Amino acid sequence: METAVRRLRQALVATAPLLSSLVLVLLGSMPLYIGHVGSVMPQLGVAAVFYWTIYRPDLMTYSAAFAVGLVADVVSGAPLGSTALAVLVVRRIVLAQRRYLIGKPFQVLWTGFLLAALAAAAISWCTASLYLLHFIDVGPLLVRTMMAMVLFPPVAWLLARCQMMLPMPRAVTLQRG
Amino acid sequence: MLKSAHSFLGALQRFAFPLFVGLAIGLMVLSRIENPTVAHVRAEMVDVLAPVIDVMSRPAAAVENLAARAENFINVYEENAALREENERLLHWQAVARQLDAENRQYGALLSTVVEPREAFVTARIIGMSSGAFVKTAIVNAGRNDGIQVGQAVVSAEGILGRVIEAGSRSARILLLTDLNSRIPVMVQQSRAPAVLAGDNSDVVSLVFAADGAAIAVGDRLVTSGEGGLLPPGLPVGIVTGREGGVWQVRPFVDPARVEYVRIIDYALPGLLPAAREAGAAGELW
Repeated sequence: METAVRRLRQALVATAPLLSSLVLVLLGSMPLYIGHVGSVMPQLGVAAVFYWTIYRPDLMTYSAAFAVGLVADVVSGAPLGSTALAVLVVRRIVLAQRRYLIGKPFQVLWTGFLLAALAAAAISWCTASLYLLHFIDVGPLLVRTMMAMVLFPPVAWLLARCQMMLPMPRAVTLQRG
Repeated sequence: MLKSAHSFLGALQRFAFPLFVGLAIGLMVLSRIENPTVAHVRAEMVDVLAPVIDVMSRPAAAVENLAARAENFINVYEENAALREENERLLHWQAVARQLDAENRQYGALLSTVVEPREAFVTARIIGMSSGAFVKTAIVNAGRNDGIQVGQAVVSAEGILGRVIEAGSRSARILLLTDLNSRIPVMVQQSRAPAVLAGDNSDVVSLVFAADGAAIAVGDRLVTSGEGGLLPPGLPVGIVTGREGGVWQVRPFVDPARVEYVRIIDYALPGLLPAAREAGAAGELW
């Protein structure tokens, strides 16, 4: 009985980053309309993958990031694989720059996210223009990136709550100790 | 044994990035060449996710309603005055419309006009909206089980919103007028000049294939022409706002972001386009 509970707990810990990211992806597809701004709900999956790659890269693997991107594509109706590609590249970049972001003040993290979100937007723009064989308008993409910036603090706060519930990975504990 | 398994996993992790990037690009290529399996899998996945999105979108709708209510409360006096005025004007128009309807019926009977098929409709809630770089689509919580098929027109009280491009068993995806791939046969309500309304992923749509010197002017109202038989004729579409680079710009009557419930019209012209309907049912038009 105890082992079953422990296993369930382990499974929950292992999938918490993926599940929280998927919830954010679905939240990002809500038809939320704010006054005269219009529908500008950004892709929150990028924010989730950014956060988890910094703090728990062991749990936000490439396969998990791919799954997050794929679900985002299915929900948004974009060609399958397009958001997945952007999210994979974001994970790759963030993983390389992780040590400049971890344990730094929130402003540094926020700036890092701005750069990651811009990179994701640039990849989206390139793939969309190639896919549609038509130079698409940059404006809406930039508005959505700004919206993602605005929403990043509450998203990061929520994910931090979620992260605090997870036990520390051994490697990170050793590094810090 | 354990060591070799470990090194295998390590190798997999090392090659994970190129592996998944390749997979993503492969999927995009399959989407581009309109692979039916990919379209089918996508529709099925939306079906699975639809109940979750439906539940999650309810609080969002509640927040929206609250904001709208607060706004209404602030504007209640001006709005009341404006509505009274509008009501008077509309009552006049109602009388005119009744008169015209009666006359129209008489003339129709005199000329033995073929009666347009009566359309059935399903009401559904918009549960998801995407305004990404690639597409302008929305998801509704009704699908094939409710009689929804690919190609059907989706309207709100103000006019046409788009048409169904993907139908799962309990969810469907709508291609909005503003999408790059949206093409709707329309005509000018007054002059009956035909044209095709095309989106380009921005908020304005434009008229293509309008004849040179066609009777189109700024302020003209556009309605669907019903050409091709898939959409019912006469649905309000938008208003001509200007001309840029020789192309007429149109502002649609419906702002999809403001709509919560839509009607999906089954406009069944008997015996027309059976092949297209069957292909549509399988989601192959995507």
